[in-house]
Formats: sequence, C-alpha cells, structure tokens
Amino acid sequence: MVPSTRTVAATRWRRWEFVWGRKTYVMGIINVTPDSFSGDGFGDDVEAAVAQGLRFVREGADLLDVGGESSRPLASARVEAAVSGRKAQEAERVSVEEELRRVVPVIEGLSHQVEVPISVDTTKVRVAEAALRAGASIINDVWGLRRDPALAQVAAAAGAPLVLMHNQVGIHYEGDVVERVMEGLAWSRDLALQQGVPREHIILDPGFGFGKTPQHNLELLSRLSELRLLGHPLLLGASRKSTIGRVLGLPVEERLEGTAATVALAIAQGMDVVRVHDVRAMVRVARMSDAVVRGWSESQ
Amino acid sequence: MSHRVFLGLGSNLGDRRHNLQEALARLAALVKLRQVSSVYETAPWGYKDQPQFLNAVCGGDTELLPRRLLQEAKVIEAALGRTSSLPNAPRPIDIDILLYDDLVSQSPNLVIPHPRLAERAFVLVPLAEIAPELVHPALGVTVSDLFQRCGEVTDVRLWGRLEVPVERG
Repeated sequence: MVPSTRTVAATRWRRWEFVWGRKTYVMGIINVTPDSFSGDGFGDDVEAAVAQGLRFVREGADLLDVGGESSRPLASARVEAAVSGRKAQEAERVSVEEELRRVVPVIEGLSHQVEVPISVDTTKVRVAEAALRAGASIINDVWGLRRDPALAQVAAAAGAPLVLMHNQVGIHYEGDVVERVMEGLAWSRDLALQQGVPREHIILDPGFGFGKTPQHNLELLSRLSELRLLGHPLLLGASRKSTIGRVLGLPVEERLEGTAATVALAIAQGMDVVRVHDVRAMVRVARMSDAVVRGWSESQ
Repeated sequence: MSHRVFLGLGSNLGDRRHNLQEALARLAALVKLRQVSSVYETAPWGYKDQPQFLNAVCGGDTELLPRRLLQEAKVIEAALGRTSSLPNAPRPIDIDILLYDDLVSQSPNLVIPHPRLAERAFVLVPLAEIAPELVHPALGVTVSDLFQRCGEVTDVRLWGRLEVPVERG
C-alpha cells in the first residue's frame, strides 16, 4: 500500500520544465518598489532593475520574481511612515497605473535577455495580464486569491503557473498555526483548481513573515516538512525577513547568514523553491544543501 | 484532500473490548476506516502491576490534518473516561497516530511516525496483519521487515476480533 499523498512531480509550461525534487530552484527577487522592506527597491530605475536580473541569472538564479507593489504589511509601513515623517499615503498600496509603470518595462527588458522564467509578484488582475503580455510566465499572488480570485482565471487562460501564498490580516490562529496555514493554502488551491488552473501549475508558499509572529514563523520553519502533505511544490520566502532580525538582533542589511540558515533548513525539509535577495550566496547554500539532501556525485 | 492514516488503540481498564469497539465507532466519524486488525492481548509496559492490554490498529483515510486528528482522538479518550495522563498508567482507551501518509515530523507535541512503532510488538503485530507492505517513511523498511526484526514475539497473543463495518476501496 502506498501513502495517499499525490505529489505533483513536475511543472511544465511554455518552454520550461521544473522537475520537483531534483534540485532546489532559486528565485531572485527584483523589487521595483520605492519602499521595499529589504532596502533593495529600485523604484523607477528600470535599467538598474534589469541589470540586477541579468546578474542574478549569471549567479545561478532559476527564475526571477518582479514586483512593484510592496507586500510589506500596511500597518508596519504606516508606523514607519509616521516615525520617518513621510506621508502615510506614500506607503499605501500603489495604484494600478503606478504598479504597471514600474513592473512592465522591467519584465519586458528582462524577458528579451534571459532564458529563465519570470514571475510577477502582484495581487491585481490588470497588472498580471500586462506582465504576462510583457513576457512574464508565472503569477505570484501573496494573498493566495483572497484579494482577487480572478487572478486564477488569468493564470489558467495563459497556461501560467500560479504561486499561492498564505496570508491573513492579524496574527490570531485558532489552535495550531501550521495546520491553519495548511488549511488556508488548501482553500486557495481549491479556488484555483475550480477556476481551471491545472494541479501541476499550483505552487504553494506558507507566507513566512505574513500575518505571523516571530514565534509563528519559527514554528513554521521547524515544521515545513508537514506542508508536503499538501502534495504541491513548495516555495519559501524568508530572505532578510524581520524574524531573522529579531532573533539575531541585526538590521536588514546584515541578515545574509540568518537567511542562509532558513534556506538550508527549508531544503532539508523538502522545499522546492527559495525566494531570495542574495542570489549568489543562496545559490551556493542551495547547491551545498542539495548535495546533502538530494545526493551528489563527482561529475556534478 | 484525504490522507492515509494508521492509528493504534489500546485498553486495559474497564470493559476493554467495549472500549475498543466504542473508540473505533467514534473514530469512524473522523477516519473512513479501510482496515481494522484483530485484537491482541499484551502484557503492560511500565507499571507491570496492572491489567493486560487489548491492542488493535486501524487504517483509513482522513481529511483532518495530524494535530486536528490528535485533538479529536483526545476528545474520544476523555469521553471514554481516560483521566490520567501518565504514559504507562492504566486507561480505558489510548489512541495513537502511528503513521500519517509519508510524513516524518519530530515536533515537540507530535512525533510521526509514532516512536514506539518500530520496536513494540503490540503495535507491529496488528499492523503487520493489516499492512505488511507499508513502508516506514523514516526507516525506509516495511512493517513486515520491522516485525521480523522484533524477534520472537511471546508477550502478544491473538485475542479476538472487533465488529466494525469497514469501507472497502
């Protein structure tokens, strides 16, 4: 008798094929926001953003994630805005037009120069559609269809893989946080399936650092292996996040080693994709972890 | 999505057969039961000066995630009168999650596969009866192999059967 877990073995779309379990895929983050929490936002500098994408690919990134809407929780953005004296509106959700203006040229610029797939980090249908036209081929929704369920239809129509992240307003969980996250992800997954996204195109992300306390995030990180019960490829994005800062007492520009620890632990527990800012370093961490976890031979 | 789960049941207090039967009937609301083993009588572990255990295992499909299932199992244990939380004390019914899909989890409040699974005859004997080819996800060997490794089994003997409707398929 075999266990009932039906696991997606591979995801194929356009000219790409990701075989899950063979290696850890490294996703490089390209922020074209003016207010990125990690301090790497390019704002309106298209050339610099494209140059970073090209560098990421040279450094071994397997895919690039372009986002123009800061996914930093609004509450903390408002607090920081108040502290720094900036106008609160500045940190509010950017308008669709502004997000389009930031994201589309970068995706266009990259898609003509790189072989790796490009994902668009957005919660808006119009942005997703424009990004797909500009050359993106994956949609990364940090609200797991909770903001706009129609994103699934866009993905289905374009034959684009869809990353669904767990997210919620507030930090309250009834009972076990990991199981509530898994139920939330299953809900998002089911909504995507209902709208015609093939099972093989759905990638799940537990949303480290979103709607969770540092304790929640550490609990999640220690129990990532349980997420495999969902049967989908899994993405973890813990890069430079504040939980690392809290544990180490370090600012965002000094979280490389903490991030490396999360990447290694994620791979040891069966994660398939890691979303990171520091591509060169994390590709090395991933290759070393892969050698231990997935096997290695001299010829590699 | 449903998950394949194997549960261990044990009773050594009160009407032991009734306790197993009742626990199974209540578990059937949580797990679509596919297989139920025979009942085996086992000498107790830990405090030796207590009644013999009746043990059985069952397998089935559940929609509940591991901790939710454990929580519901605790409700059944409490409903059937379990008061002591001492691990080896006499109890009307004890329900353990033995295996849950191919999950390997070592978190502080739930260890899966069950740590006693690989070594205790009172779990391996009934499990080998209903699922000999099942692979222990952490050890990579079948239940049947684990059972062989147990050596001679002298303290577990066949006692009887429960009457439980099992859904096939």
